[in-house]
Amino acid sequence: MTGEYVAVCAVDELREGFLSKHEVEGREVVIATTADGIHVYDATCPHSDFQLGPARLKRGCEVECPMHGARFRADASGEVVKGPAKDPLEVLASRVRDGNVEVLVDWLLF
Amino acid sequence: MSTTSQRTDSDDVMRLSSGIALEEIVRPDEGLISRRIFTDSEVYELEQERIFARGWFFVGHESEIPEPGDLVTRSVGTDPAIFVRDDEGQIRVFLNSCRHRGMRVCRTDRENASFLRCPYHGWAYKNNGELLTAAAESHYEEGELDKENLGLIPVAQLGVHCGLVFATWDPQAPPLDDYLGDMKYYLDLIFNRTGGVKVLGTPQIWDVETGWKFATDNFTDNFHVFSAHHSLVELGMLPNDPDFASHGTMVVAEEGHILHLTPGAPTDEYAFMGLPQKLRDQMPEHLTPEQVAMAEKVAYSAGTVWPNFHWLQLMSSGTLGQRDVPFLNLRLEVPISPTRTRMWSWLLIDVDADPEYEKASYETYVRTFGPAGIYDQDDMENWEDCTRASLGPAARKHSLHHTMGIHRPLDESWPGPGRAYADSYGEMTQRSWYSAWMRFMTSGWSDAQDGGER
Repeated sequence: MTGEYVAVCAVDELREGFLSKHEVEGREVVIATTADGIHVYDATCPHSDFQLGPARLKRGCEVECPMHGARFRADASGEVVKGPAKDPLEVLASRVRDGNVEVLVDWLLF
Repeated sequence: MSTTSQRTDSDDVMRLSSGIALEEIVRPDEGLISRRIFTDSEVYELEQERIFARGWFFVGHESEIPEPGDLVTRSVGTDPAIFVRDDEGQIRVFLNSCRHRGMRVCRTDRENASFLRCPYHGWAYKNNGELLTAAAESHYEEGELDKENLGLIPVAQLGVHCGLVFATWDPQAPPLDDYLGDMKYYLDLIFNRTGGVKVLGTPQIWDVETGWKFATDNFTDNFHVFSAHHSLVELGMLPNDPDFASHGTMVVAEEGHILHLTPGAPTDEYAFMGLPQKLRDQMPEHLTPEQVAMAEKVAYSAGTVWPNFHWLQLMSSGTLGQRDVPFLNLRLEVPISPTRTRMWSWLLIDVDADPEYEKASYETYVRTFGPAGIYDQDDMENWEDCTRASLGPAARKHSLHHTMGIHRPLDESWPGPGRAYADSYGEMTQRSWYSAWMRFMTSGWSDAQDGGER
């Protein structure tokens, strides 16, 4: 382990069924809040490099890229539900501590 | 020779390119309406600017887009539009046309979407109208793409009354509340009578080869029923009495906003619009005692919010020999060309209706109205033939005749707002509609609104 957990936002700021946009250590990330949990991803769509922004989750459980309509499971896998993307969202390790969402900032990889 | 219609300074009238003034050929006070205005392409073009770019138009009912992201495609005036509830729950209406090349951004009748992607070059918008990406964005140099000012084009104003959503492209138009004026009293009577109404299913949409005004004219016309729909009389679905629909009241709530309130047979079955007892019992909670007393005497009602939105609250039998069942139908005519009109037809139901009544109401509606309904079939034949027979150079020189009841006295005892007439056979409401048409065609908002009797 070469990194440490860094707070991104308070859990209270998050809305279930929505994707929110944040910046942590200079990196753009998005947080999907579903009935099943909180998941943090790199904000870059793996298909087009479009930077995902705040949005409602499709059916409450999918991240949709506005640019070409790629959809990803808003869970711990971030896997593709519908093309044109072939690769999943980049899932960032995260946890909830002291009312905050924290992501693991790995200084070698981040 | 001038090729465009214009308003001249010298005599302050609206002249067509032939030199003839609209005021000469459309004289609602005398009941004389030129056939030219129903089919003429020059009048049609003038209507686009004078009416469809300025008026308030029905877009849809709130119940059609209950969830965030729900959207349906519509027209506002004659422009294509998107009626959407954005991700924050706010109802919005946009021109359905990409800011880039004008392509329709939304090409489905209905969907749930956070993002609207133009199929042409991929410009993508959020459902609140914001432009998110123009695609190939890296090829724009700094300052070449002003995304903040390239969102979907919103209507100038949006208004809601009784869940009915209206919009206008004209920022100068009066607010919806003022535009509807006293018509709100009657909209409440029909749409706010119980704990609310909702759209059942999806609207039916079909094109008819008619000038749009032949249809609007027909939606405030009780006395065509015995003749135009005589097959229903022969089948026992309507009374065999030429005056059967004449015993009600017609009301000009505001110039152009017009309605009929007509009783049915003098039995309890036809009181309170024929609604089931459970729904009748809700009326005192939602209506004034005066409106409840009015509703008691209504079995049939047809109303028009000027220019092209109508309700039909009717009773009929869905199956021969069965009892009459009420239904509430919304109608809209959207002109496609001088002689082609897109008809929209919605069925509404009271939200607290029981399933059995809902089904009976649905069955009655589909068998009688909409593109396959017996009534609409008869009406379409008349509208299309009126259009065809009014196109020729000989016919165009002659007016249509709207004089019935020109000398009819007002019913001073009528408790509701507006000018009322104690007779359902007459052309008072049609003349009011054409008076409003003339005001829009020849005046600005301040004149068009002054509401006096003509």
